[in-house]
Order: sequence, then structure tokens, then C-alpha cells
Amino acid sequence: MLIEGEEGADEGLHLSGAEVFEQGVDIALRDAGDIADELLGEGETGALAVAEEGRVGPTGDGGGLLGINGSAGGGAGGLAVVGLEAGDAEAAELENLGIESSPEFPMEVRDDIADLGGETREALVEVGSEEARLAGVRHRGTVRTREWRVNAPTMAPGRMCGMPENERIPAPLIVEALKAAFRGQRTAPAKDGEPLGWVLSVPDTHQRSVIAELEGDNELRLLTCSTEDEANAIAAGLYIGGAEVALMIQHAGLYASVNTLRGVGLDGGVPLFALVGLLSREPELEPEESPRSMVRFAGPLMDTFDVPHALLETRDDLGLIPEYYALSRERSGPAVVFVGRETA
Amino acid sequence: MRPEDVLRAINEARGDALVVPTMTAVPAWRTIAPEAPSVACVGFMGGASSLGLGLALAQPERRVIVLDGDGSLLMQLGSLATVAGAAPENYTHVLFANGVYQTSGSQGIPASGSVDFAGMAEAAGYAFTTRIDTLEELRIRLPELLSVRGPVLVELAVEEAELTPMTAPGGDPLRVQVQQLRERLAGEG
Repeated sequence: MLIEGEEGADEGLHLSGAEVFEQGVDIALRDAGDIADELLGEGETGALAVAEEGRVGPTGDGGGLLGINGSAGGGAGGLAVVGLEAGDAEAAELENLGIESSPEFPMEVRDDIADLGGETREALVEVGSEEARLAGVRHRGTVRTREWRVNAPTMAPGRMCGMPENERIPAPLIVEALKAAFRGQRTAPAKDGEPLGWVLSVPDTHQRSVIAELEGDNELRLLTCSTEDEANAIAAGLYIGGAEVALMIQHAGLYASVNTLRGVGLDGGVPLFALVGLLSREPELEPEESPRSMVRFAGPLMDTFDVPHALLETRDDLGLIPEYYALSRERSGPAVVFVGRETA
Repeated sequence: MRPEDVLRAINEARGDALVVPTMTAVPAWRTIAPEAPSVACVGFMGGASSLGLGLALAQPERRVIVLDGDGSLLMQLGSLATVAGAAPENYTHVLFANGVYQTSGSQGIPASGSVDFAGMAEAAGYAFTTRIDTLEELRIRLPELLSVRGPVLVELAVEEAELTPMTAPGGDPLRVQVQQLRERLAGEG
């Protein structure tokens, strides 16, 4: 299925080749009301939200969320583009597209889309009542794009790992996010000589800049392990002993250490939090679409073990680190944040 | 040496040390030292040395004793280097070398009888390694092995154990052991 931009509707929006899944519907942005007819029951109102990170929306580099709202049978509809860092530009885009908030379809530009998204990175544009917003979408499933091709200058050559250099997450930000995660769980400040927390690493290409950053950090202690199995078991010992700990490994190591993950994390109830590099992940594809089995099966493998996971690729995703760290504690089990792109 | 006698000797000398038994040491330790602050490595064979390392790093003021097996250590032999790299001074790695995978039916380990575990630990960078063949010598040297700057590895030539986790299942599930020891340590901290 394709989503195509409305011809002439807005010169700033050029979408092509976007594949819609989870719902077998044809979507043409020019007729959001028809889409609503297909997806919503008679009289229902709701919103379809299409989230993507870093590669969508006329504002391009900030990532974005594209929503189509409408009401079944009413023919009303529109298009909203809300950036992950939504602000004036996104508001202007709505205005350009002729989308205005109304009592019937109140709409707002939000700047907390990442917080709304959860691990699927889906989010909803506020449309109508809370009840309608929930019922209209979740009862009907959600339409997401696997790929957005936006005519944006940020897709130009010169990027690394499919990303411009300035879009790769700087290592210090990830280190700070880890510290925030640890501080969020500590019940007492670190004593003299005691690290704020431990990072157990089996070196990962995607996160090599973070590992280098950690080597010079005064608050966190980095320990290189021979295997990911060891890392899981060491993490258990640290946890029992009252320390905060995170793992930094690569997807191959995740596969290699499945039994320890199961034994320690699931049977042992140890909150194993891991940043897992998805080496060779293709930026234009969802990981589950990758032709590389190492990338493609990583998420489903975690699903098999009921391990929550999310994808970290841009600065806007940094909140996933403390969020999933806390989640591992709450669940007394593993939680994984996949690092989809090489850090800077 | 009979492993049960070894465990009794260790229990008498352990002080307030934290203990990580695995495989055939588990059922005997459960009986011999039911009050000891312990967490058993069961269900992820080979993990005892690493589990103990994590404990030693988190509790640097306290001795940690790992009751490992030769077959188990072979499954995570790289942990010798990891332990040596972390260099926990409070870490004593007791290796029960009976030459077999007793729990699964006493199949011989690779190169049984010729692998020098103490030598490998020394080569990896352990601060102190030794091999002991008699209970008498072990009793004499245990105070040293539990106080000298680690990491320490002591390889013990032992017979097969009376019980295995297969013939004597039981004890608290790992999840319960983890929480109990964590809470106990938090309470003592």
C-alpha cells in the first residue's frame, strides 16, 4: 500500500514509497475522510497516527508524526504533521495545509510525542475526546509506515549509517542518560569511592564512542566482559549487592546469551537492562524488514521472551534509557533498548 | 577429598563471606550451611564465577566465595580473564575438580585429568592460585585463602559428590534467593 501526497496540496511534502501495514487500506492524503470511513465505525471519530523517527515530515530532521484525522461518514479530514520537537514550524505546517483546530476536531501540536509513543513509536494526534481518540484508533488497529521517503535535504549523501553526522547521538548524551537512569533508582547517593553505577560491556561497534566516553568517566565504572553470558551473571551479582548496572552489547551477543538472559533475567527475576547495538541495520527499513537475520530477529526474539524493547536512534529517543531502565526494575526482569545507529 | 568434607571446612572458616555454589555443591551446601548468605547458580551453568564477581564488586568489604566446578568453569572459561581484569581483592574461587560432568551422568570433561585450572587462572592474571589435594592441607590453608588479596583460585582434587541437583532437587527458586540475599545485604548495609 502506498501513501501518496496530495498533488499540489503542499509543495513541502513529497511522500512516496511509504508502505502501510497492519491495516490493508489504501491511503491518499487527499481524502482523509474516506480513510476514516474504512477504519472507523459509523459515527466514530478518531485519529490515525503515523509515527516515524528522523525521516518523516516536511520538517525533516527532527523526525515527525503524521496524522490523518477524520470522522466516518462525515467526510471531514485533514492532515497533521507534528514533529518530535514540535513547535512553530509544525504549527505553520498545519496552517499551510489548511488544518485548523475546531471544536469538532480539536488538534494541538504536541512536543511530547516521544513520551506518548511507547515501544512501537506510535502516537496519536489529539482529535476529539479522549474516548474517541482511544477507541477510534486502538480498536481499529494503527496504521504505520514502514518507510517514508521525504524530499528532504537531510537525505543527501555524506551521512554515516544513513544519518547525517549531526543527527547521530553524541556519546556524552547517552552517558548522561545512563546516569539519569541510575540516579532515578538509587535510594542513596554513592558513597566515597563507590561508582554511581556499572556498565558491563562486550564491545559493540554501534556504541564504540560511548564505550570510549565511559573509559574516562569518573562516576560510572566500565567493565569489559569476555562474553555476554558473563555480563548477565555479573549484572545479577551487582544487583544483589545493591549496585546499579547496565549492559552494552551487540545483537550477536544477545543471541549468544539467550540462556543466561532466560535463567538470570526471567527465572531469577533480575532486572537486566541492556543497550543492544543493531549493527548493519538499514536506516531506511524497519528492523523487522531487514534482510539481515541478525537485525530482523532481534526484536521478535525479545518478544518471544516477553522482554520489552524499544529502538533508540535520535536524541529524541534518549528518554528511552531511563524509561526502560526503570521498566526493568518494575518488572524485575530484562528490558532492552536497541541502538539502531552508530553513536557519535 | 570428599566434596562434602570440603564444604564443611569452608563453612567453618567462611566468617561472614557471601557464597555462590553451583551444580553438585548446591544440595550439600544447602544442608551444611543453611544460614549462610548464599545464592546458587542453577539454570545457567558456568555463571557462578561471574555471579560471584558481581557480588564481590558490589560488596568490596566482604569476602565472596565461589564454589565452582571444573565442567562449569569450562563453559565460561573466559571469566578467568574477566575476573582477573576486574581484580576483586575479596574474591576466592574454589574449584571442585572431579573431572566429570557429574550432574548429567559423570561424562568426562574435555582433557579430563590434564587441564591445569590453577595454572590457567595464574596465566589469566589471578593474584593467587594454588592446587590442594588433601583435606588436611585445605584446613590449614583456608584462613589464608579467605583473606589473602584476590582474586584467588584454589583448585581442589575431589571425588564425586553424594548428591547432585538432579538427585536432590529443592531449595528456594533462584528468584527467591536473589531477593532474599539482596534484602539481607541491604539490611546489613
